[in-house]
Amino acid sequence: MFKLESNYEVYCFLKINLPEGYAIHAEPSPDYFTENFFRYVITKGDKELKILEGRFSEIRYNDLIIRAKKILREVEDDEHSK
Amino acid sequence: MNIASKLPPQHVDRTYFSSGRAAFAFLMEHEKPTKVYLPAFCCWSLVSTMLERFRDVEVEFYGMSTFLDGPPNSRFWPEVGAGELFVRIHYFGHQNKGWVIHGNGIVLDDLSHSYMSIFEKGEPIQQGTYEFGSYRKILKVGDGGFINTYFNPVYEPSKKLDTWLRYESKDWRDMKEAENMLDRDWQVADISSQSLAVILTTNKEFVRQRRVQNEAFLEEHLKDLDVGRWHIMYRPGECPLNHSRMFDTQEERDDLRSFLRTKDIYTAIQWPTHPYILQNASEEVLASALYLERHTLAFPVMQEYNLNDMEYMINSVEEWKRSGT
Repeated sequence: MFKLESNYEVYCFLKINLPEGYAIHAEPSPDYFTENFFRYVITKGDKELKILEGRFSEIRYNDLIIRAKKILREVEDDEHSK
Repeated sequence: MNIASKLPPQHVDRTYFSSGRAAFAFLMEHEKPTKVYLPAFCCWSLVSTMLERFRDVEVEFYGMSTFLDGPPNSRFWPEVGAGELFVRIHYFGHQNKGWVIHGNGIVLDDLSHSYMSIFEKGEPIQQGTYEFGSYRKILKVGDGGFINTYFNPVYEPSKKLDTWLRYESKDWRDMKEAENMLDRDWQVADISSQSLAVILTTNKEFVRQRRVQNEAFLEEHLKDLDVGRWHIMYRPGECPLNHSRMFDTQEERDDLRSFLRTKDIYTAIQWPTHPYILQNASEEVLASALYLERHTLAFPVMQEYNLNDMEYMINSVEEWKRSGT
């Protein structure tokens, strides 16, 4: 749907591309000021598979993009190996 | 004729943006001030905009009255020189009208909390140069900001997918993430058509009446319960953002807040003081902001709630009171 170019778009990227049965949830802190923080939980059914967590201002370059693509590859490999 | 009636009105007296922050950034770029005065009791997004987008512009913080309707004392009348910009926030739907601002500078009225309030105009109230704000505080919209003046901005192209996410959202967490996506950038972008549709079809009179009713109910019953004390005395025509209540101690306030959370009642602290303000404002300027941060609690009075919801809140507060904490 789109080319992943920004760490900010990782959530949407995974939401679109995770295979059926998988899901991603944004779990923001209940505190008021949270836009710089992220906590993305990738699940399959009730099982938590991966958590991407941190602060956008502390991410180096496209590290979150790289991590998201790696997770997607692993999940897809896992599905294909079945 | 029917189709025409459904089209957005011509923008003759208003300019829309993706957020209040984008509206503020646009005015900053339009006026190019050398110095900006911000209140120490302030939403973080204004501070962030200054730090992220206008790093070269000097920022000075000023204090305000604890009751948010004027300066901290009768000796403080700011001097805003030519090329300088003074931001006056009308907090919680209440007109912050007790200001006499000297000089030829620009005064920005922030109506983010108050755009549905009907304010007094004319002498001795000093009108600002521009009014701007955000829609998200009062309406359930994911984006939206405005300036109450016609401009014809060149919007920055947005690559963000926050609008898509709002459209595809499965739950409140998606909506929150969409809001956060919007807030992570400092673009001067256009409002989404989704939000504009909500804004243009909202029954403002209903919103105002429902919020006034809910706020008055909370004030009356919390007073009866002897829990906290009133903070804002709304004037006729004003549309409350919330019911702000003052507590003698932070411990009492925090204890009530925690208890209400167990009842699925989410109150807010507006606002924790931004670290940059803590580092750069004097003790005198910080005094009221810190007091409000530590002693007030904002109860929701949204138009989606009715008196049954308010009663549930009051019953929960009564339960907390009976528990003797």
